[in-house]
Amino acid sequence: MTLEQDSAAFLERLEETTEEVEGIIAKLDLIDNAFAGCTFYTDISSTHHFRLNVWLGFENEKSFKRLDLSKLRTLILQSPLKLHIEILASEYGWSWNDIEFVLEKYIIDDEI
Amino acid sequence: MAVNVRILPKSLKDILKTVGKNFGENINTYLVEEELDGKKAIKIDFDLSVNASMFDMDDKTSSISKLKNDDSQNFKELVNSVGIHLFGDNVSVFYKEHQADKGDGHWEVVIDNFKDDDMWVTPVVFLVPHGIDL
Repeated sequence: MTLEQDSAAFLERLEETTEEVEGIIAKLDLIDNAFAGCTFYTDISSTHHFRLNVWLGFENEKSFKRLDLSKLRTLILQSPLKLHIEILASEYGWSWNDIEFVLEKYIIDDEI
Repeated sequence: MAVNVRILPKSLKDILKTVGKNFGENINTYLVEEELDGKKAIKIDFDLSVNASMFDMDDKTSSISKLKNDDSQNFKELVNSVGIHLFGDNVSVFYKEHQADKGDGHWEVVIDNFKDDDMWVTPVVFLVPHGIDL
């Protein structure tokens, strides 16, 4: 299997657990009720590292603007989500250090 | 010898994921190839210890490894109870057998024995392939 194939397979596996991931994220202190879910995509960085992008969707601009992704990232690294990702990644022979973890946010409301 | 988790069926990987989360560890990194009864198998080289009081085993765990030979009926019942708790629905079902994702064969979760350990029931667990080459 190539890195690209593994990346696609990992994404599929992670997507199967979306509900579980969203449940963990929803419980984090920095996340409020406007959190509406997340979307994942994976790619290969220019340095040939596997990159996992997690996009967090919010239903209003206030929550979207207020969320500090840097602080959230720190919180996630201390949460069960890190272990969740580590477990799935190890199914493909990767450790956490093999993954470039990227957090992004977006607003779901079309009017904004 | 470390094990490539890809060889396991998805249902078993999901069980290991749940077990790992319950113990706060990635169990996949504790899988090692070992022999069980002369056959290649995968051992979970991690103490999945459960409080003995859950199984009415208080004060009986220091020589629990003898149960297998001394009282096979109680041993089987304990294996089933621990299996339900660790690898099952925690009510009545031990998810013991897992069909291969592709082709014939299946994997079996085998609690082979228990380690002697004060106040903890610590199973010795193997993942045994049937009809699958390791």
